[in-house]
Amino acid sequence: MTTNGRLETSEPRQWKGTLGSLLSDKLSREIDAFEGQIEQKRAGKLTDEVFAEMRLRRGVYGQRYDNGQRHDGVTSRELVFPNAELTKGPGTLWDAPGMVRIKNPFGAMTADQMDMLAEVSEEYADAILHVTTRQDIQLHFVHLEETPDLMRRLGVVGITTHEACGNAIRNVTACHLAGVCTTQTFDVTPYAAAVSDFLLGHPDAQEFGRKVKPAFSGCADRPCGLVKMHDIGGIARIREVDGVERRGFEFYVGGGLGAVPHQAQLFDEFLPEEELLPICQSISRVFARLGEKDVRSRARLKFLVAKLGIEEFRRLVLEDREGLSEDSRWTAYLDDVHKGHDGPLWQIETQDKLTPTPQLEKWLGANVTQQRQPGYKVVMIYLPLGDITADQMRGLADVARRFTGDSVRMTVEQNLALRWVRESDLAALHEALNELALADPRAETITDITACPGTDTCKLGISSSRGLARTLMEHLEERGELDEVVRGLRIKISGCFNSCGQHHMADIGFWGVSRKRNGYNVPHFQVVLGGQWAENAGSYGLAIVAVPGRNIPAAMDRIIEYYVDERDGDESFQAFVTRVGKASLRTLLQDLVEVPAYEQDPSFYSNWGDPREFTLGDMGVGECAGQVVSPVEFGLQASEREVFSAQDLLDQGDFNGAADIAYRAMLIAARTLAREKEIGLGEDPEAVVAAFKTHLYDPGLFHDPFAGGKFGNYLFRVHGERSNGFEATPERARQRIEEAQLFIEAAHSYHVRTAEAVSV
Amino acid sequence: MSAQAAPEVGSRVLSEPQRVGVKVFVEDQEAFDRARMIEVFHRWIQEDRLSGTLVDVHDYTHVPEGPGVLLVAHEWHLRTDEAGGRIGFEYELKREGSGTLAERVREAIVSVLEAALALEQDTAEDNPVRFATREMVFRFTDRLAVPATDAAFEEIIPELESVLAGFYGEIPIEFERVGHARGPLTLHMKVVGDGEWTLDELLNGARSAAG
Repeated sequence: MTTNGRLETSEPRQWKGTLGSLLSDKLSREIDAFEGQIEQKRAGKLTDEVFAEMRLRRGVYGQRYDNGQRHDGVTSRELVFPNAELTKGPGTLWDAPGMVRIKNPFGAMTADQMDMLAEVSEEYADAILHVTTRQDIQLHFVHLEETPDLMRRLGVVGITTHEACGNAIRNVTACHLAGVCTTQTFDVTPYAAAVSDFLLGHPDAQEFGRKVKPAFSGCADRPCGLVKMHDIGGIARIREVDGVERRGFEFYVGGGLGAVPHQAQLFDEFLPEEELLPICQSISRVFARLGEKDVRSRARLKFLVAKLGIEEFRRLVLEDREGLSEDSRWTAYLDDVHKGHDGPLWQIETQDKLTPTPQLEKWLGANVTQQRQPGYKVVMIYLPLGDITADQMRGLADVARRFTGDSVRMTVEQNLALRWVRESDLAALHEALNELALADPRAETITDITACPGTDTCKLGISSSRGLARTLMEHLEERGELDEVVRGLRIKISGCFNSCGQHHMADIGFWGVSRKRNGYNVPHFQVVLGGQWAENAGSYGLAIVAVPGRNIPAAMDRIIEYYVDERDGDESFQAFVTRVGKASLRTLLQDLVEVPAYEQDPSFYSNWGDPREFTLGDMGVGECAGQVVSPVEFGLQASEREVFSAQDLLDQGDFNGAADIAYRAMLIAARTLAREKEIGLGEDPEAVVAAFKTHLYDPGLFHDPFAGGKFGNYLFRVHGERSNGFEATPERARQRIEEAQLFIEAAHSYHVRTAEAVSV
Repeated sequence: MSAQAAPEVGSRVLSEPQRVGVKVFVEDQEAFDRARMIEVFHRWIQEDRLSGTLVDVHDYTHVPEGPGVLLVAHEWHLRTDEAGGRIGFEYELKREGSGTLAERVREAIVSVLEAALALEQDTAEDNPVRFATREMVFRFTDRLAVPATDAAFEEIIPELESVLAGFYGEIPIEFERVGHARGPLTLHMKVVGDGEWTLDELLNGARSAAG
């Protein structure tokens, strides 16, 4: 036992030795190798760049402030870590807490996995498991040196972090109702599993310039799979061939959100099931061979498809497919596909009629849906902002064992779905969930807001997406019972243009930007309207105006009240936005764009949920700026008005006109900045672009700290297209508008950076 | 493999844990203003109010019975923990430092009391927060060092009694194992003898006992 209160010495126990044969040899070797890489990096034998890619491929990410600098609201401070000189990537300190992303193909979790996830979250992270919009789980505040043990423990229950990040095939997602959905053509689960297994670590999928995100959906109409926003996606189809029903997929490639969203293009109306894996392999090979490697911002598959055109891309893939050597794995899994379902085989009991309490009744109406198998239900569990505690997860594992036969899935709306729940168990299940504080009846409603991590933990976050989401949830709760047509709307929020919160597809979307107002930086959100969540993310919305973060609740109120008051019969929100037009919606919000003086209301100068002033060092020195609006601010606002005009033309079907105006908006922004360096600069496009290049782009001044020259290149490419007979399709016009918007955002960022440099 | 199955080394169950959590409860649960804690923790970072490398503040108040507001340091986490529906300060040593189990527990107790005292002082003039001193919760997430087993529970009690004597003297205390059967080893400690202590008195007692 102990001696005088001190434990006798012994070798410290290690998970590596303790877990022994519970871990597969392959996974054990992989994790040992990663642990070795950590040691090599510590010993200075690996460069930052190489090690960063190694750890990303193992799911180990950086996190905000990992460069060792944090603004505390008064001054920028150095975070003094023990290994101050050691780094784990470019500008990334060794000891800075990081994020680990855990892959769960199609969002499935067993009870044993949930138990282990709970354990590792409380031991290595902050006891919170964050469900992402791609059915992953993220743990935050994890130390690099603890990740091998974390991976070993997850590996014991069949979970990997391998290729959860990095330039690889990411988690394969699928609708959470797959197998139990009333509208599915067939269960896509085994196909998603097969693609995931086949491509994980596949030699043909290791040389990408960027990540590839696959998704599957059981039907075309519903949004659960979101196929059209993915790099690779399949929608279940059945076709009769020679009198026999055959399974296959309506197969898409080249979709993606990010800064400039692309709708996926149809690769094949019917890709037979036996061709799914070889075609995915060939797509990987073509992408690895021809995809952009040097310019990160053009390296996603969507850019290759757009560059080659879908016909040429298809030809190259099919040509590659012809040359592939036969692989038994392509079809081996099909033997098991038709065998059955993943549900429990327990008997349906005769159901006593429920005598619901008001609370139970509300929950039944909001969170319980039909399952295709009679006698069973799907129960949604609302997770606020995708977060669940370790204690809740452990309790939920018990619930899964007791009520679902171990069938739990994460959803792309950051919730959980319990499947195969007997109708006769609903009351008892509600009680069990209530004890875990997991019976909130608001799943898949307007108050079930999706948000990316934003400034909470993400290095790229500009505005606080989670802070705004919390505020909007509370605000909507305070409004009381909402009109039925409003309850089903979706709000989605991203902290920057990168779309991790999927704002493009929301009825009402927001993405974080910064504006220089009254001499200060002010957190804003672009308001995005008109996105379509249904039909697998059928269309994307466009930003109509940037509103200060503090005024977003008021903006949301006006939008939903306008819809309630002015909608035409059963008109959908998307149809309503199209009918009334973005100009009218912009007018509706116009006065909310104003920012009061700092002395009048300093809250405008902070993010929601963060009392620190939103600045990088110029607080208190902006008095001389007073209420004066600089010529740069005037110019950038003019360029934003042009972008809005381009949107109007797009809505009216004038695609060439929209593209031209978007280009003009970029020129205005470029000229506005370049004129600070070259006073006499006129309006000739050649001269403007040349001056922009000379004074801002070439010296690297316009470069984004993370995206580099990406946004400046938009201008050069669009300018070049002018003389190359550019013909605007609806998609190309919309993309150009997106690029113009991003170019102007980059101009704002440049203006903020230079203003700060002057005032410091 | 769950920690419950962690092997014993020789006849001992316990070894030296990195992670030790101690929670003290807020007295007036209803009056506790969670939103204010975001501002308080940000200010504590500005003022270097607690020792360690203070990194950031994280708001989890939207999570029912969750960590509340989290102050993240490189070496530890401090949260306005709401587990079980009862709000308190939980201080969890996460990294760095070393020592026996008793030394780590003592360090965690001192740290949580210092943090609680800082909050009592900060709020003295406005909606004052007071912490209860007759109960604590100990949580050991370091499952290899402190497995969540009956044997570990039995073995750890004398360790904790020895440490707590430095704070409370020879006052009788009792322990109850709480939490989920598959959760980390968690013990609820209550003082059963007579006595009232302020946070300051507990800290001073510990300093005196340590010499």
